[in-house]
Amino acid sequence: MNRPGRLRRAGLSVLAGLCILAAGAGAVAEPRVIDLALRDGTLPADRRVVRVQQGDDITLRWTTDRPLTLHLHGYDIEEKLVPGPPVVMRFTARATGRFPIETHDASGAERTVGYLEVHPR
Amino acid sequence: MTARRHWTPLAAWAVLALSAPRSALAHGIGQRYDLPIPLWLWVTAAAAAVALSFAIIGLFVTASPGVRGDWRVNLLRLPAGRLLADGRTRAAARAVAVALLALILVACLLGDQSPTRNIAPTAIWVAWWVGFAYLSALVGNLWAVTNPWSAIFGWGQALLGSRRAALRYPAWLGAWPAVMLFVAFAWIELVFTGRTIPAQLGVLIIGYSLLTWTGMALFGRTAWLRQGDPFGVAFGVLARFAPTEIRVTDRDACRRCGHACPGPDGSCVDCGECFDRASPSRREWNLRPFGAGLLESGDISPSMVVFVLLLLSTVTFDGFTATPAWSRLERALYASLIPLGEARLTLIGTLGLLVFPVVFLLVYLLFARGMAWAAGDPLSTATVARRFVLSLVPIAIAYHLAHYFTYLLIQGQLMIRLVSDPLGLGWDLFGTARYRPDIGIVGARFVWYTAVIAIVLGHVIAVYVAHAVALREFPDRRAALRSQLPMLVLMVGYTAVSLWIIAQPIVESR
Repeated sequence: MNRPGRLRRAGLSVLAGLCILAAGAGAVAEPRVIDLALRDGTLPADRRVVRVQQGDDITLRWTTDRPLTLHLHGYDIEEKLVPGPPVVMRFTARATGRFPIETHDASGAERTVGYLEVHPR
Repeated sequence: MTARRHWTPLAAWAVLALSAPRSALAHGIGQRYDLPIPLWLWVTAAAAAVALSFAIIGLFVTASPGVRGDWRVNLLRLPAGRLLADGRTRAAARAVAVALLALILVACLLGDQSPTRNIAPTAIWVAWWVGFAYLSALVGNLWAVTNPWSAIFGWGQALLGSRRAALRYPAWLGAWPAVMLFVAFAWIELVFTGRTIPAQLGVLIIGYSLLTWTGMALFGRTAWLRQGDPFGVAFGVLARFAPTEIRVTDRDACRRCGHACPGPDGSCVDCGECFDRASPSRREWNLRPFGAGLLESGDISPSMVVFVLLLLSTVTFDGFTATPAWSRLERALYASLIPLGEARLTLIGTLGLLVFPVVFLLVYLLFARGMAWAAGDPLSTATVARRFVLSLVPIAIAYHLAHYFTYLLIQGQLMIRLVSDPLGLGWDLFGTARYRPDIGIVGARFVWYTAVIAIVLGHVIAVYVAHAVALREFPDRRAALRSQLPMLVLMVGYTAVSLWIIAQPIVESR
């Protein structure tokens, strides 16, 4: 008597799990707004890897304390930054991968300031 | 406030990104955007590699699986096979290869000098070097058939009359020229910052051409290609894994085309020149099991052992230089070598490139000693080292496939744009000059599973090949099986290193 009940419960939870999985697979893109502040051309240590999910609508809001040019590789988005109000990079994270974000300053020096990681759902 | 998306050609950026001597190490040209494989997949794959290793041991302990290494189907018996391997088809393929070489050289010398507006850097590093490695391992030794330097030399001989080689290739020289030249090539690929500058590549191509033709004139075309030429030897090693081979079963014909060719049974495998000269009835184009060519290790000299380990170690080194561990090591060395100034990054890269093969060689010789000892020393360590070195090749091929999979699919798309404007002069020959690579061509999950399955399969084939070689080489079954325990430890370790690298986030050096 106990047994069928347990089976039914197990069955139900499997079903519920599948529903959650299905919901996850068909999940609508989530808007993600991420603030990134460059100080002296670098990001704080906890901001050097930006993790998002595939399909998300991403808004990166950049501020800086000195002028430089930013380039997000792969998605190939370039922005010129100057001190002042934030500059925005907006895109849909359609491709998975780990994409370097590079800065270039007036002297031509380049450095990788961080990475955008787009993980599969 | 609005996001401006610049759909400027990748070119403009890559010019800045690649021409400045900035990132110390990154293979060839362009970047890889792979996500690291997740921990659970790493653990599952490592466990699968270990479990399947024991399954293979079990197979060899409980039964003698008929090693199907000699299974062959001659494709020349099929009309389609005859057409593909026809002399005219091969001549046409060679003519195309020579035309492409000429185009690349012209692009290097006369084209736009930015690395991604000119076809040469992408054609050389992505299409040829990575592409031919894939083809060699997964299809067959196409380089032996299409090598344009060999073709041009052959045409020269046809025009000027074929002369005997000035010298007999000395046996003591072995594959040492190929070893030296491959070290130089690996340094250019992985360390030299000028590798993406077309003019520099042009100079390198001219230098390589002179060297190659001199070697061919001195020692004979085939002798040089099989022992002196780094690419002939490298693609040859990879192609031993491939499921096809070209074979000439005429002892005399094989002996005539160069003493480097005939195998132990007198027939010669993957020798383009012998194949061209042999009578059609003595030619075979065989389908064979993957890895079958690795079982034939009778012709492996000590210098070839070094070459194979060099090839394996540079592939691993390439992956290792993109890991955070290397990045930390490089930063530490960089900080401690301040007096050396700007040359530091090159120096650190060069050191790494030299240390890796030495470590590979020492570790392999240690395990070869272990194998000989475990078997009760019926064979010397040197003999064991020569007989078993090829069995490591599948692990390297698998890692190579995993490492370059998305790179080839994404960076390879640049060729679509470049063929329309190979010199970067603003042409649009095929209407594809504005093509923009699709970075989403494959998803991360697909890449992860492909990479992990390739690595585990490569490991399984390697363990199988090593067992098959052991049963043939050691006097009794017990000794053969015992010899494989140290080998298994080595192979599991090597596979674990491959998996570890693809589980690391890719970081740009400095």
